[in-house]
Amino acid sequence: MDNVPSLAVHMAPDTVRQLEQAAEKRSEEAECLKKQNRFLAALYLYGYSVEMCLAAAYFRSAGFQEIDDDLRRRRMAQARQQRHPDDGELLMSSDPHPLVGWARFLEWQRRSSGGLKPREANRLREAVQKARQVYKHWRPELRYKLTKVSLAQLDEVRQCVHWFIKQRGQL
Amino acid sequence: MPVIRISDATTTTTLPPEVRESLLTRLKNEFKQSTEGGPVIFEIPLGTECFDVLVVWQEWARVQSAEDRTRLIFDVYGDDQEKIAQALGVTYEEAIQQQLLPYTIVSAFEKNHKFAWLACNKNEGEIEKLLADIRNDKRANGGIVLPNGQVELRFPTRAMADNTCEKLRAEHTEHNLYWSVVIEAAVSDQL
Repeated sequence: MDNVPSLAVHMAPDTVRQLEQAAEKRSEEAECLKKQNRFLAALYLYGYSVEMCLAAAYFRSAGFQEIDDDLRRRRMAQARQQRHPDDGELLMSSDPHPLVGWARFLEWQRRSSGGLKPREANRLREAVQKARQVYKHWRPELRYKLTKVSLAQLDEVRQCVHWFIKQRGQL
Repeated sequence: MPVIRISDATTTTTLPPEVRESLLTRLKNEFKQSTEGGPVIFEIPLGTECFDVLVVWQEWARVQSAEDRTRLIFDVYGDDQEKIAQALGVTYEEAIQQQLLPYTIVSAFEKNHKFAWLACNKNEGEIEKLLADIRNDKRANGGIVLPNGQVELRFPTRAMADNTCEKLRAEHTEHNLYWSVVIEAAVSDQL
């Protein structure tokens, strides 16, 4: 067994590009699971795919290509301190996988940078809505559950995932 | 890399002017003369001309608004604020809770007094002196003084911790080999 190299020690730092590619891979794998009627597992992967799309979009818009753990933690800390100018709520919750938080942080980041066109602002608002839609069904804890996932629930999430993947580079 | 500013139109300050002025003065003074219990300021390089600024300070507990904390940090930097990609002010507790300082420099002497006695053949009085020296070294290198008087020497990046650790090892040959960097394990499987 010692001849088998450890995967854990060969995880290179993430880049925005790798994160986007991983998002697509997880989505493709979720499609395979859906075809096999493994709805819960499919939903589980779809959720992470959305998280990766949103985080990648945030870091890309903030001018980063590489993302390391320390940088990510500092940005998430900022999002957990910062209140949205419209609703006064914190941008991101303390949830370790805050889908809606990433979408709100992305929108705030783009707005704060200035020069946002109306079409882009609408797209960012749509991203927040779609993240909420996914989070209606998705939680990381799903992996511990035997919950029955309906096709309608899965499709709602699936459509959002496809939208996020299609928006790559535009959010 | 874009620098994110908080526009005055979207945020309002909740800080009384005299409190703001006092905090700003203390922050500015820290660049000239480090004070015990004062703000610990980390300038974190990002590989470009921009950098993140992380200020760990108990006084932030009096400043609830993130915008106020950020604006104060930007103001301290004056013309150089254009180079700041992110200005984040946190208390020590907030920094620990959010794992913003996951790299800690420790000395083996602190953990185990018997180790000092065995390794260096020091008596109790000399060990007390050694521990005081270690505390001073940690303070002088950006250590954060906790309410119980202990000093934690923590860093936001591995590179910053390694650099300081090397410096400490080089400064005191007597303490050499006994400084090390401890990495905090991640508390969750985040992205």
